[in-house]
Amino acid sequence: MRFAARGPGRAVYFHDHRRLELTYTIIPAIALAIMVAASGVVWARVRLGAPPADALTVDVRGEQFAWLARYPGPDGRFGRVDPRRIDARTNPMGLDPDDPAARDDVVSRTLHLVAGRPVRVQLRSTGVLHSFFIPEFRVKQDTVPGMTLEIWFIPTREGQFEIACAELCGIGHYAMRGQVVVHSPAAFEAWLAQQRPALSPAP
Amino acid sequence: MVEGTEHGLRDAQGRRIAPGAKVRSGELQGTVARVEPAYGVLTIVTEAARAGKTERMVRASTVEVLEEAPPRPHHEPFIRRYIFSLDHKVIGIQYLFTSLLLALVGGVLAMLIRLQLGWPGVRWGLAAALFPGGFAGGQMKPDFYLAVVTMHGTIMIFFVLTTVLSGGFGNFLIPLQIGARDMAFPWMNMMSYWLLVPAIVVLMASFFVTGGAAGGGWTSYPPLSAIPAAAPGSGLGQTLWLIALAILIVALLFGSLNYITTILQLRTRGMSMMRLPLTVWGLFVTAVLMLLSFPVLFAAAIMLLFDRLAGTSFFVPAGVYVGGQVLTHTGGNPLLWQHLFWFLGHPEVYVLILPAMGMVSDIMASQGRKPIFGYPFMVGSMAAIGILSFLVWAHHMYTSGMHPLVAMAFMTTTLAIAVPSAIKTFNWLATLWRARIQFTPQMLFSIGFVSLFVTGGLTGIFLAQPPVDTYMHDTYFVVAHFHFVMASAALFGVFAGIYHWFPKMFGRFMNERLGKLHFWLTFIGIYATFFPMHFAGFAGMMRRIYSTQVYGFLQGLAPLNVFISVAAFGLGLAQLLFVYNFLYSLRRGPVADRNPWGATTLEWETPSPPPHGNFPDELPVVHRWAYDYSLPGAPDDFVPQTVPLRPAPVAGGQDADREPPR
Repeated sequence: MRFAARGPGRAVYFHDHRRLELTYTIIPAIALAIMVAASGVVWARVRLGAPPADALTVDVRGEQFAWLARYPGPDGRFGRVDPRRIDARTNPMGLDPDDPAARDDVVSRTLHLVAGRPVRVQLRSTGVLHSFFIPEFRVKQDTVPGMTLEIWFIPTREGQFEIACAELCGIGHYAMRGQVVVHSPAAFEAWLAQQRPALSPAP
Repeated sequence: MVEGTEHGLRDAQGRRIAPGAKVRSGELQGTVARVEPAYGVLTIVTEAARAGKTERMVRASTVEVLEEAPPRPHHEPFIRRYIFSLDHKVIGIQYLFTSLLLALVGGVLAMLIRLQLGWPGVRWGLAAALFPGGFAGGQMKPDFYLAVVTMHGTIMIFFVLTTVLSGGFGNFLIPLQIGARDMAFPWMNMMSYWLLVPAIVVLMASFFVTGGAAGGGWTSYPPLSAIPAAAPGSGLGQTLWLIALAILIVALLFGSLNYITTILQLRTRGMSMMRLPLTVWGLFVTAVLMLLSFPVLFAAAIMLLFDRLAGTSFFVPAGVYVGGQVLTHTGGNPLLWQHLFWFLGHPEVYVLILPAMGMVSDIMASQGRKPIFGYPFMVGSMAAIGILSFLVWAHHMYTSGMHPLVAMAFMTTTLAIAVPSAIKTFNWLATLWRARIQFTPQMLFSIGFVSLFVTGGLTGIFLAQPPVDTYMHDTYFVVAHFHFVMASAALFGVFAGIYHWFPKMFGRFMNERLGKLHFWLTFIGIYATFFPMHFAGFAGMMRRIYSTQVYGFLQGLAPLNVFISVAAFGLGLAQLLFVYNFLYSLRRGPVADRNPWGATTLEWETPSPPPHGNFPDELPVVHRWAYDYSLPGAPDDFVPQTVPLRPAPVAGGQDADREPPR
């Protein structure tokens, strides 16, 4: 209450001090410029570099209100998908059986990754916006219908984590929970070997 | 600058040449219809030719006044005076009342949000009885929750803060503070308000249509908002939302054109731009932002309407699969909407904060009895914020899918805008330094404004940086950030403005003791409600989720959300104090005289409330800047803008022969 109005006397008639004002213009400007530079370096490392050559590639698609992951299968290529082929029960990914590359694609409701191995995630969406968010990984990228967006990162620890949707996508937005399992390399290979191609379901 | 309309035009005998006066010019004799003092001419309706409506324009120098204009008795019928009024003060108060009423609606919606997030899954008998359509078996339905979230944001941003600051205070204060009789276009001004009303009716009607009100968030990102099948709220409710917004935008454009023209053209004699009170500067920059940014949202809203109703594909790409069907749209891009929306959406947050900044500056000077510190920097930083606000929009889109390099550019501009914001903050602090602070409610709210602005501004620095924002984006950290820097700060500006100008608007004081209590409860309530949201955001809690119970990583947040909800209810209840104080004081508050705060600006030179035409006699003439508080040597501790400059009478004093710079 140092400057509260008490007793006689007036406030000081003081309303300009160019040097003081320039000081507190320039100091924040310098601090912010440093922040721009520092943040820019980090951002360039996170988002502008190409993923390493040995990266695992996964196709992840958001839909109302679930996540679906796809692995290219033995041929190493993702087959064609077509929204008109989507069938919630038999072909949720909408794989095109006419494309040979699609016939060995593996589709999973859970995302399986390898600890220590970089992963490229191709993100797509069927209908509305979603956002692929793994809080523990500090990873977030919107999925946009009509676009395939790519991010890459390296899971460092084995375990199970949650995938959340961070972009409002409708009434089930709050419950669009997915799961990611980070395996050791051997466990991942074992899991993958067990999977059947999505277009040839279990007999 | 065109001189004020009623300066100086007098005949040789010094009688006023004003509309209504009987005059003679040569052989012409008649009644003055209009006066153009800037050109020294006037229009006379000649008596003989009245039936034929003959008007003649004559030079003022040739005119002799036979009979001065009678003092204008203003007896307009009730409906012209209070309903379809052309008077900027009435329109301002209409905007004020309407916005405050909608603030209550938006506030109730906020309480519903907190009810759900504090206790998800609990059955509420009373709430279910009040909102039968929104609850099933006593539990709030997810689609109702999303409609509530969407409408809370829409109402608070577009129909409360925008309208009360620009429409309410802008209308009321601009002509009074620049010394004008009214706005440049009074009829357009009336239309501005009367377009707001149908916009509100359409928006409110959307609660009652099939599927309920829009549920896509106040940003209404397509394709969710473009495809009726995507969500219940994407049906008719979304269409009405877009129509309401389009109508509102026309209303706001009418207003902003008016404010700009009025400030540029109708300033009274001596009121140079650099003598304008900062309130007017804030409103001026705001009006420019609105004029340049709102048409973009208008266009986007119309495009989205076409996507919804006419089968176009501005925002919907090919191959969209919703509800078991592939749509026929082809070739659109959802990111286009985000760019268009935020090209408005970001200037919009400055539309809310700049008028508050201006009002708070003037209140600090008058309640601190000290000139505002660094007036040129204050004006310059407002202009800089205004310009930069058009260059930062994509910082809302770091994770949207635009190229990461673009994020770098927008990080740079976004952090640049922190510089003028910092200047303003330091200047406010310097204004308070060695002031004589009167801790009135408006001063408390002004200081509170600075606190909220700093808190919210600092978290903005986190969010401006893409690597940090990647995690924070669309979490409660963002919710906390904008509720501090934009929502609460602007609201504090509104409260400060109401406590300060209430005596001018209604000729009565609000209760100061209740006002202080209101301040402390609100200030504590805001921090208790919104500060913990930062922690929820750190924990990853997403925006717009109906329940925190689904995700394992959000399980620990239940107690925090209960705390936030309880604080929010307290904050909401505290506003009832304000409602009571406001309504009671309208009728029963102590009567205020013309200048109760000892303020320097022109609105305090006229009675409270000001008469029709604002200034009973001639328009005031301005001789100095708006901040001659505690001028050394002056008899009072304030010198109104209308007092001529003269050498300070105290000899030998430090400032004896120094004139104030403006």
